[in-house]
Amino acid sequence: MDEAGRGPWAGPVVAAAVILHRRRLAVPIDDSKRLTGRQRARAFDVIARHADVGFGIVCAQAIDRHNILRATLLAMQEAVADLSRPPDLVLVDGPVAPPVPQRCWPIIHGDRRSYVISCASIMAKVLRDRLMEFYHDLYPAYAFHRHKGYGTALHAQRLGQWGPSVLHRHSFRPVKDCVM
Amino acid sequence: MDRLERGVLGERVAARLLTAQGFTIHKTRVRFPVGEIDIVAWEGPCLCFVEVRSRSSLEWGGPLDSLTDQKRRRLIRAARWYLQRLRSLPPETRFDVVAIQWHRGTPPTVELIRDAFSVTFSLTTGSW
Repeated sequence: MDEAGRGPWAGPVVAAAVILHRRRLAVPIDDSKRLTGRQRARAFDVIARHADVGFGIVCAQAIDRHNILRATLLAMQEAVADLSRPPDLVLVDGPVAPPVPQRCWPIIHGDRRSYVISCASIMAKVLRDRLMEFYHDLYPAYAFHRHKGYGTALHAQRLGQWGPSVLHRHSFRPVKDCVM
Repeated sequence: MDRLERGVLGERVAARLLTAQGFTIHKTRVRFPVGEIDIVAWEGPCLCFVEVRSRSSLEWGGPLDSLTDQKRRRLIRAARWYLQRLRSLPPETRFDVVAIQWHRGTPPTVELIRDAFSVTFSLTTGSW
């Protein structure tokens, strides 16, 4: 289990739960941040073919309503529920376990230390990136396809220019400061 | 005929059935990162998300049995994303299933199940 999208100023937080059907896959698997975009995309396809994957997606409005930590845990909970069969054990990246009936093992830096958590980090990251690319079509002013909602200089500039959208996390300081 | 061909042919057969029943087909093979929709079609004021399920006569179970919870969830998610894309929300929405039973040597049996499953929708746009 891993998540993607805790830091960005906009868009959902996405969690992925992966149950591998094979011990090792024929593509490089690592923490998603350490792979190139192309490596991630290929790994996504391979993992999808050899695993049961569950996704949890929690929107910006829900992030504003609860806080980002609770929203992340909620996404993780959804991801476990989205699996086609419930797991026996959940290996979670990070120190906090989601509120699920299964036993959890939170593993700090799990996305580097555990093969299957690395797989989950890839699934979460790639899905979230694709969602943000979809959002670019709906809200082209912000260039979501470039920064995926993260606080880059480009995003800051566009946010300042246009103000926040419904996709932005209004509870985040940089967004609050831009409300016109 | 392999699975992929069966799928593509199945969608065509389903489209034909829907048109014959008076549906207006809006889009086929709508793909999203979170899932995909086989056919989006209007029946009057209702926008229907149609899932095509194929079965050969060798397989057990009814047409809806192969529609797992996970598949249903992904369909609903894809439908919500699709609705975000529309300029205006339709007055009604519905999930239909076209069940196709393939036979060797004879044409397939095709059945339309309207409102195959329901979900309480909150049609708030931009709400992921």
